[in-house]
Amino acid sequence: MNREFLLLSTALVLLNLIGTGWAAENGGSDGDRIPMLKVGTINQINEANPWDYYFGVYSMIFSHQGLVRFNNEGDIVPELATSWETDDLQKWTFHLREDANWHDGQPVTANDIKFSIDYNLEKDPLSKSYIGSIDSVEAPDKKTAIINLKKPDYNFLNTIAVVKMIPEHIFQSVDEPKKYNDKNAAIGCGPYKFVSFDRDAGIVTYQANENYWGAIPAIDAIELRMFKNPDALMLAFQKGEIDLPYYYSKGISYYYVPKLLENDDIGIEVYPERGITNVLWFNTAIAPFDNKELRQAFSYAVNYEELKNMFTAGYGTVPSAGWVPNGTLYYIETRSLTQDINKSRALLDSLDFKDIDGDGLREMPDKAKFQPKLLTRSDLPDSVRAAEMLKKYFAEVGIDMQIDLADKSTHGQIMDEKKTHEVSLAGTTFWGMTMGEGYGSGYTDTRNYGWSMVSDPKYQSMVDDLGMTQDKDKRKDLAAEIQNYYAEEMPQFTIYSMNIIQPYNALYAGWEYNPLHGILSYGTLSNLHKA
Amino acid sequence: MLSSRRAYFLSKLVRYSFTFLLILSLNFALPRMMPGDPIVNLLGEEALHNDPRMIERLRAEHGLDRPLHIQYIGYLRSLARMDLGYSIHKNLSVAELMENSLLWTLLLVFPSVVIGSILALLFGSLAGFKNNSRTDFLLTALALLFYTCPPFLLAMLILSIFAFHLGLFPLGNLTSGGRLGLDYVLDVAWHLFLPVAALSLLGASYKFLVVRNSVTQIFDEQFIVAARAKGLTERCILLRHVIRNVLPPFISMVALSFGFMVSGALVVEIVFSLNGMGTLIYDAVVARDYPIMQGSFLVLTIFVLAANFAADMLYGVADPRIGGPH
Repeated sequence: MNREFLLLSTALVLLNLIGTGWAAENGGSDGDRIPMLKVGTINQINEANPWDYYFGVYSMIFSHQGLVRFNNEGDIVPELATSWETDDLQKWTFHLREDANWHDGQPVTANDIKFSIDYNLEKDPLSKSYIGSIDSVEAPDKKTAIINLKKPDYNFLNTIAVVKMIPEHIFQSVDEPKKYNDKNAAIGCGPYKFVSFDRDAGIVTYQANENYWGAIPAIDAIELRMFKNPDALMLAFQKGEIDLPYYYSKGISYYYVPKLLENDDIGIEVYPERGITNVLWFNTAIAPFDNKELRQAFSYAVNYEELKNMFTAGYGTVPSAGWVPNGTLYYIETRSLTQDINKSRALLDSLDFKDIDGDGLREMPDKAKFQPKLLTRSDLPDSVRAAEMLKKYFAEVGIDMQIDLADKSTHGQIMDEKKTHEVSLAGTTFWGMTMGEGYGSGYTDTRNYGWSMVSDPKYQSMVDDLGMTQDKDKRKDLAAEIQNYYAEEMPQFTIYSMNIIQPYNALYAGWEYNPLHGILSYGTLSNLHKA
Repeated sequence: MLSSRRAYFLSKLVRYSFTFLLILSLNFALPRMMPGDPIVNLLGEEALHNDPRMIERLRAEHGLDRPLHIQYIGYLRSLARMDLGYSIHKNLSVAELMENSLLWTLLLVFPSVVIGSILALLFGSLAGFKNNSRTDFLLTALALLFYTCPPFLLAMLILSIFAFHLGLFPLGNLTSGGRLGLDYVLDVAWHLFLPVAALSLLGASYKFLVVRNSVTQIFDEQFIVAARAKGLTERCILLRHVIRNVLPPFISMVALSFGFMVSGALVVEIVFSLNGMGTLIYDAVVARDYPIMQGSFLVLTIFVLAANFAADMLYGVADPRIGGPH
């Protein structure tokens, strides 16, 4: 009995050891896998519909793909297209990968690409704002898509990078996509599949796509939890309820940092911002802001160092006159912006902006009071504070700046539609800087967004040349010319720019940053592992 | 007596109907009188190519290109069909959006108003009854503290202490997700406990001060002296004579609480990440989403009118002189 018991026990121990050894061997990598990544955000998703703004943003990160995408350096790399070619920058031919499938198992074909673009242009008037330059799409075979543009555009890949493809077999019978809130509406071909949206719990769940054509996602499931205020989000993060506080296209406020630094389980990375946090825009189409010396006088009045310390707590940079952020392809060094009160005053004097009535504030050459209006958004506390600081700086050189606060809607109407602003304070995004022909031309050129309403033929000619030039050396020269133009003409200038402060769960390693999607990059999704 | 009460009821009904029609028109006009444009807002930063035709097409799609009087007639017709329209920004019908938000707002606000009112009546009467006592000082100090504390700060403190530091409650949202049956109900109650507590305290604080002052004043009235002279106990005087006289202004306050439920709940909804009418309206105002604003204002109008109507009716019960022959 004892012998039998001993034999049985030994056998069980051996079996257990073998089992443990096998598990360790196979679970070495499995053990490093992340079963669930909990992401917290204040972005509000209203419906699991790709036409819902923020669901669309997260679809592009997790479940949907485009022909190409931005890599971690901000360069264009293949996604659904393995390669592409163009001779004239007007006809673009994309060769699709063979192994991409929709989440329901159907293959991704060139017909889906053609359908996606045609469908967007037909059903969504908004799409005209970014793919309105497309004239037609052809699908000569299952894996070749040809996109014909209305005019040559070198920057087209940047534009098409944000167009997510949708399955024709799902949407061909859908007349009103914005009202199509079926679960099938979320079918994409990306590394994650949409699972559920619980509005009351504020949770969107994604699951790894086991049939994904690329590297197997490193995280089994992703839970996106929505908060309505950043403080509650950060409390949840400190408490360990979420692994990552995530803001689309920006980081957290610096004032959370000291508390986070006390927690060993929290890591913090600071990434350079490829958009610009706050820019002072002049409407160069109206007098007297059509005068570059006057704009320069404004620029010399600002104390950039103080603004950097005040608004970024050291997590920012002193801007340069060339405006384009460091890190942009073909970025050149231009002069750093510095305060020079005497130079500002001298410039204003030379333009005959002088204090006639002795109140310490300048009048215009026609003797009328010079009280430029500074428009900014009332719902952005930092912008309101920055506007007050600017008012103080400009008063030092005798400019009586009037702050004009407007809510988001009114601000948008004035800047985007009416164009009646004089001077305005607003930021830019990474993608916005790549729009138009890049280098912020979308924001500057009056033919585009044109917040600074530049219609100078010299500038527009540089922009047009950028759109038609493939030669790298020539592009480099043009990029330098544009930055020098900004430095000299100053249709707008940066007052401060904040870097991206991104905290994360330090128990996981392999976080990678991407200028478009931030830390929720493909690198993170495919490489994250237990530290 | 009965006919005069019926006449009182009918005259109120006619007045409320007229007010309702007037408010319907205001609900249509107010959003359109605000600066800003829902379509430009919709285009936002994505619309780098500012194509006026696109803006016009979107305006036409939402019927905003038609003359105002035609839009107004369309609005009234839709209302007659009980059709509240489709949100410009949120890709959902207004009815769908409100169905969800209204339910949660009622679940949040109704218990808060009831609990806050009971607390105010109870402690306000006690403080007034024990005027200038230690209890009075303590309760009044507490009420003043809550009354003067900014709602956002109070809600954040409650969240920080009870959810973050003590870990007794969740840090937000309405449910944990994935629950069913009784488990779901308990989970919702757990999630709503702190927001209801915050709103109750905020609501109770100002009602407390009114009740306390009313009770203090009424205790100086001649009829109280008469009651005391009759030999009634203080408790009996408080319950039968004082509270009854406090009730009419108290009913007005409670009715007004329902009127302000959305604006009051907005901050609490934001702090506790709840989907209620407060944030729905706030988002709609920021985005100039006319259909949501119209629909939400309509529902609020109905609630305010219903609460006031109920208060008018309750006055008659609390004070028989109102609506009587005089």
